[in-house]
Amino acid sequence: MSQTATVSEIGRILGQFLSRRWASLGRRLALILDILALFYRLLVASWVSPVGFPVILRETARQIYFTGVQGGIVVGIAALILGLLVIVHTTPKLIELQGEEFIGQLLVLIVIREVGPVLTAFFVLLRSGTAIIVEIGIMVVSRELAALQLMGIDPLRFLGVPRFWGITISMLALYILSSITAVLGGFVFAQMFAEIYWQGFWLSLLNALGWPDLIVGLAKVVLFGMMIATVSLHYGLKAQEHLGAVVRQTSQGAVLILLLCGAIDAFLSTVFYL
Amino acid sequence: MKNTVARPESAILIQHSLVLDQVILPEHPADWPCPLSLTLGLKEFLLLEGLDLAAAQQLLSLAATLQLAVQGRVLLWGQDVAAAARDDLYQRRRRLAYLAPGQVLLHRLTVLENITLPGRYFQQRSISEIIKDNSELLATLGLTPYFSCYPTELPADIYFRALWARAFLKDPELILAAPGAGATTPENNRLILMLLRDYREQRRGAVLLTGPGLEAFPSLADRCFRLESRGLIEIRVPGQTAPSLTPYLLFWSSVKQR
Repeated sequence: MSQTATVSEIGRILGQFLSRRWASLGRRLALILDILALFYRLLVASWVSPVGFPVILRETARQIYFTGVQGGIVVGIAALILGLLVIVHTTPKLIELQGEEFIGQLLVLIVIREVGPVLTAFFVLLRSGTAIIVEIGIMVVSRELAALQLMGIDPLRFLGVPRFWGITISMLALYILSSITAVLGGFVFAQMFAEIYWQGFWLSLLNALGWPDLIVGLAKVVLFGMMIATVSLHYGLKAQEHLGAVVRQTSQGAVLILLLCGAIDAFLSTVFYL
Repeated sequence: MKNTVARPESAILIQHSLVLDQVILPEHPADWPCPLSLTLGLKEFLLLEGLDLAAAQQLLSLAATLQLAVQGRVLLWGQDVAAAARDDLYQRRRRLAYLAPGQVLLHRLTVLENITLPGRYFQQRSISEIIKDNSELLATLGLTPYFSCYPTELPADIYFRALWARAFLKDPELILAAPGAGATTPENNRLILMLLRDYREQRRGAVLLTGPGLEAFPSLADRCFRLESRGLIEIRVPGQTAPSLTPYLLFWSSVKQR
């Protein structure tokens, strides 16, 4: 009798555990579907109507200025440090193995293909992704979104579209800037520490750099930019109740963006290079 | 209980700005007539007294389609908005002005940017053009010295006027307002009365006023109602004249010509 009771108790606990897992899985799936739906609506809202185009263009320029221009210096410095670190850590080994000609290949692999897009995405997430969640969240809580709706202005077009394209364009610009800066920084330090001169460095870089590397790097930053903007807007719009909810949504949104960045990066690298 | 301010036979005709057809509000007060029907003509001024601010906000939000009715239909210019596509719904909201409790200015825009936003967005006009065309209105409201201020820097009464200025600069065909909400100083009340009188005489759009503090407005209204325990009761205001039939006749003759 007691054995039957124990088995039944275990079954009940297992059932509860599985139903909780199932519900959690359902919630996560619903979250991803919500984000995909928002992504689709942002794309449609970008082209569906010419109403308010100058205002939207101005808002987009404002977003590009905030993310791409004001943030450019910090990204440039970070990329310079990245180029230095690559050279400092790899050059002694390459000289030891008499493989100085591979220095360009290493820079392409690390800076242009992998770390460059991720570095730019992290920077944009910290500077603009979290700012968007907080800004939109505060606007929702203080009923500014409702005010826009009552004016007949679609918040997705007025607030969403400029941030979506502003961040995507800024990501592209920052990625190009960070790649150039990292390569130039790498060259300067290579010349200082390893006496690898411009011609050899440049030849090594050009030999290593192919169109697929550039296309994959650009594809990654475009997808990262669109994803950061969409997820940030989604979490900002979700903050319905009070300012405390904005804080919670900001941390949740930042974590999800980091995870999605990793997933997109791994997916694209696997598809193109394996 | 009488719970209707409607002319049911004509309720869904296009000559109405707003039709609330047997609607039930999501959180209506206990003494609220339920379901409620109400029609507002294209150029009619309707006053609904006896509602507190919360109830007024509910009713106006429903009329402005910010929240959906539990039951019944809301028609704006003849179209059921619950069934309208997203873009269509926004197009209809462009034609109305909503001035109820909880309305705010956008915090990251200056007063000037806030009040000219609808004009810049919908008509693609510049700020200077909009200001030039509405300089008299803005001077009357005393907003000119505050153009470069952000909403958080404004005194309450100026903030209130800025909301009204933004609504009027939209050139709305329908005004849904609770003038008793916000900073109701005697000066603000006088200005709003003046604005509504000018609007009624020159623009001839429809107006629905509700909420507390409507003592100054019955003289402007075509119809007045009061919410009492028995339901909605029509009030006859001394000196009130019946609305002119001319606009309706013009409307019908244009329909016949088509």
